Amino acid sequence: MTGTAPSGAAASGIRLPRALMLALPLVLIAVVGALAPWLAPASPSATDLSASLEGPSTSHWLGTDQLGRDQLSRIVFAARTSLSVAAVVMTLAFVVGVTIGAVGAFAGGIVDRLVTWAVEAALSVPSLLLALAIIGIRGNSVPNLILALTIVAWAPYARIARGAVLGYRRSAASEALVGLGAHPLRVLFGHVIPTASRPALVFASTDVGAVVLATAGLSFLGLGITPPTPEWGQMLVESRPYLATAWWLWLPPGVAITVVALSGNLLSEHLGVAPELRRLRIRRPRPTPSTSPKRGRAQTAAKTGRPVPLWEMRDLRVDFDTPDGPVAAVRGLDYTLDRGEVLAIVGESGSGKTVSCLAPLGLAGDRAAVRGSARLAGTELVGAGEDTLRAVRGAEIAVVFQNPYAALNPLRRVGALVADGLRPPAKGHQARERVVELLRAAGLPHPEDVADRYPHELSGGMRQRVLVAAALAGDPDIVVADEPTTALDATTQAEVIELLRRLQRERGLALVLVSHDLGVVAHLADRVLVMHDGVAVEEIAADQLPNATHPRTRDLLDAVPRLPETRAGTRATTRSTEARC
Amino acid sequence: MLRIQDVTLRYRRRSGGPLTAVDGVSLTVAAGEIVGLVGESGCGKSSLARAVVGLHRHDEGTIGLDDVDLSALGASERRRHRRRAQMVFQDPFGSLDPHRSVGSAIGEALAIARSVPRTQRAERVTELLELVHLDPSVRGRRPRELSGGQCQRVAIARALAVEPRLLVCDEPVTALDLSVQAKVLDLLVELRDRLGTGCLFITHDLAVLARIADRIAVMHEGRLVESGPAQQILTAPSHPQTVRLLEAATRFPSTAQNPPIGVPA
Amino acid sequence: MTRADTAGQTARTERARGVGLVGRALIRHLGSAVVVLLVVTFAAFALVRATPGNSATSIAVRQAGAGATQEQIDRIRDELHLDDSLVVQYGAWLSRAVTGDLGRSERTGRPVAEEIADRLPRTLFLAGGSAVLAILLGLGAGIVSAVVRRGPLPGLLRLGALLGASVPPFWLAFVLIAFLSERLHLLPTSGQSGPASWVMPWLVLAVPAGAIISRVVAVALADALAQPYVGAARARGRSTWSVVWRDALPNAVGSTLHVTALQVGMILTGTVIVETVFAWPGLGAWFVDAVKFRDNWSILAAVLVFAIGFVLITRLADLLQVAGDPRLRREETP
Repeated sequence: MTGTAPSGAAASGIRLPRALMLALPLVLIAVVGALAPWLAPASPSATDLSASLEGPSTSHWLGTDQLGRDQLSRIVFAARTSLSVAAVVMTLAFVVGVTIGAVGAFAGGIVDRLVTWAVEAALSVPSLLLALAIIGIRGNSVPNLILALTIVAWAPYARIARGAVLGYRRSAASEALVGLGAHPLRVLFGHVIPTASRPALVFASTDVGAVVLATAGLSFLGLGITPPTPEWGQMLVESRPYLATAWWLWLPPGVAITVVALSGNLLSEHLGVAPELRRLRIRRPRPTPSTSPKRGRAQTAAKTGRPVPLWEMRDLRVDFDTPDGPVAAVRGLDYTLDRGEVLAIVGESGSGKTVSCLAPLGLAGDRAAVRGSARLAGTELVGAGEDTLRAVRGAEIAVVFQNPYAALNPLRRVGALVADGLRPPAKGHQARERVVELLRAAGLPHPEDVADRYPHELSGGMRQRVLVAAALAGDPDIVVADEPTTALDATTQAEVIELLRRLQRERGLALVLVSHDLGVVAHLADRVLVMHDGVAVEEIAADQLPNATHPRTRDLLDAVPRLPETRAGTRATTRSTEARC
Repeated sequence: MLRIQDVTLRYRRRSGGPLTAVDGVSLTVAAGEIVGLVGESGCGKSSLARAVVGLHRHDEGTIGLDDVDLSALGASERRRHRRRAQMVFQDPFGSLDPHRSVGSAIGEALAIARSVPRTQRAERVTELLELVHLDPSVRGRRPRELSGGQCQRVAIARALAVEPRLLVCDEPVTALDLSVQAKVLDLLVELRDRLGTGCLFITHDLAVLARIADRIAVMHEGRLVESGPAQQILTAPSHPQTVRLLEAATRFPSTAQNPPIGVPA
Repeated sequence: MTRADTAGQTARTERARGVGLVGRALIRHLGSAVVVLLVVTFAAFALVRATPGNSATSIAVRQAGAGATQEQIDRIRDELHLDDSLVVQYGAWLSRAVTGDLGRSERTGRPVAEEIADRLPRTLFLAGGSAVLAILLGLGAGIVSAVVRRGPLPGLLRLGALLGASVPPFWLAFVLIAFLSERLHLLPTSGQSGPASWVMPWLVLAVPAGAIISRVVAVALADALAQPYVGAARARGRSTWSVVWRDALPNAVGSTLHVTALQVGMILTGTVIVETVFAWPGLGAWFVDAVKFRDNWSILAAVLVFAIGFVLITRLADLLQVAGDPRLRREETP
């Protein structure tokens, strides 16, 4: 869908007051303008040559101009002029634009092509130029000014409305409505028009500044509002001869225009930035349960006997700083991992399993605060500097990311991407050879050719293999594979799992496998750590999974789809963990 | 109840001849029956599903729901008959208007169906939410404030609001976490048992069907290649395509020959 | 694996075809640019003809005063094909415009083409300098505010950019003149007498454009930095700045090119105001004069010249974006 920022504005309820606050200067100026005849201390056109060019005083708060007119009154009346022109222009542009855009999207076919084309053409012509030409040809008057500004302003509204309606028409929501048997009029008025209007309305709120600026600019050139009607841009022209002597003539009108435009721009920035913030929204922290999580005691006891584990987490905690306050993603996690071991961390999405792996490496973003302890071969990583962490990343601990479609820079060739991670670093021919070797090790056919390709030229499975190759480039001891198969189709998933297993055995890697699918990891892991809500609820040897007792583990086990045995006797049930034992 | 007979569906293409998406498919769904329609992506199963609910016209054959073919009706008649078959879509968020609360989305469906007097709508919304095991307090929330599984339940509740005879579910759990998948599937079975609604369940994953389907039909390149009771299809597949889908559903084809992996010897 | 095999071949042929595809995009863009220009000039032309006061008689009166003779009026009617349909009139204007004949200014009587040739270089110099300044300002501020996340700097840059985008350029000019010229006597208020006189016009045009560019760069870069491939690159042990330069910035620049081009186009048309304020004898000021005088041939010619500049700049940016992104270079699937 298109940038429907307003949805969040209404939904979250937190940003709305902020938006109102940002719009406040605009609203205030509009109110002052509307009440100008009652608020202004004097008539804006009452001249008094005996009192010309007087500085600010108690009788004239903002002084007087060359004709002795009260400057404050003129500013206040000018607000009325500017904002009513803006209001008319924006109403016209909104109605015309939204109608054209919505009709185009709704009608489709040739009509839509024409609309798209007209919008493109209108947007590819400089607006100031167009407005000037229209006024120049038709003559200088307020209706022509409004006409010119409307012709300049309608196109973005049409584009926004078209995009919104198109998005809606293609959405399952609109199909569901049709499927319910809704009358076309209900669809039009209840859904299409609101869909088109909402984003256009947001744009309008941010467009005020631009329209006021354009009005002032044209008036400044003597082509918009003409004397004696006061207007900010026109007041500025008149102040030109007094730049050195009478600051009260040129400063206030400029400030007024700037405040209006700034208010609009702040609003626009705020409403535009909002979707980014929404992405950060994670569940609010819940009170930490008082009971300590159950754990496979025998396992832990066996491990503590060893000297220094390769990778050891103790009471790891990760909090995210969000606009709504800190949110706990990991709330006290302990585990160890030894060389050549495979640990699966399993849990529902949002259980903190990925964050717990990335945060100690400083890869969970700026907003993540990490506490507790994460030791790599005895070296503490929590609280370590960026340089230390950078030396660890890739060379000691490598990560295979979830989405192979997004985790490769689309603008760089595969070979360059993999070469980046080579440790020790290499260049030229030598790097090339090592990269090809890695790609081959990752099971990519024709590695020389693949090295020269861009990520988009590869299938999902091939990309995931490239990511695996890149992870191996630094010759790490530990590989963290974050949902390495979730984005792939079933057959490819099996191949990637097979690859990870082979590489892990060949290279003696310690592997941390993060997944929501117990069925996938159970085949690979020695131990399984079940996470829920930021804590480990159970740690258990993979072959003991069928005997798992914790309800969360049982949930995950039950969720694994199971196939009955085929008559041929081969197991079709390998996906189920229980059937294996 | 649903009788699909020799249905063929073609897409016009810019270049080349028309693309036959569905080629002479016949299939029935009885009341209270869950029929799984399985196939790889692009095999025509979604096109067929959309034709069943009238979102797509078919070129040949008949699709009769209680012996009424939607494509043979005029606009207003069609709107009325549409309600008998309701679709549950793949994307749980996309099928709900992001600006409307849950209550208003279900309420609108009730208003369209005119099945319940205006005054009793709120009450009926509560009933429907309870039917899909959602707390009625979610009625004020918007889709974004719900999880994927909750959204899918809302979509099901909305579909049920117009009292359909048939639910057409197009990959309704593919976008969900495994544990959530299982719960939604269980809900569909439960609704079938309680309401006697028929269900045509479209998926690419045979493993999902193993959990819920009474009968399974396998599509491949627009044709129906095999169909029969679920147990039979899953345990004694006869068509090579079915065998392939079964292997994909196990996800570890290599282990069919090799010993199970991952268990330390 | 045959799939990789065939994919390898397509990759090679695609690369071989790469230049051709950019060439094809060039042709497509130029074609649509020409169409846009035709539509804009036709609209302006139709507007001229639809406006009262542009009959042969009134044009003759404007040119020769009240004593215009019937021959003069007839000659004008003939020259402008005023008896023919609008399309024919436009065609006549266009065919003359293509050969460089843009008519005579009703105001000065000189050929419009000559007037433009005199002034265009000065306007290009003004706009070019401002564009360079705006891009430097915008890129610098944008990168810093996206990459530096801590401290007051990003907030200040953001506020500064929003302020810069909100200040009306003519008023900014006044503020600069009032302080730098009138108060401190550092810079001349007008004219083109060497670098000191360029500073203020360049700044006035560059500040709003640079401000908007910086916001777009900041948002696009922050977005690129949030992409998984950036996380993946950092996970390979790359330093922050190397990731910014090699991964994030190239991806961010693509999406900012269009807005940057629009802003450069705005600088070009902004010369209309700045040249008026600083008495810069360029095309912009001349255009304003033409508009005030309702000198139709000059207006049409100026619309044509500015629109050509604007369209060329934006299309060039779109082309650069295609050339810089291997995904866009790929031929669309049929």
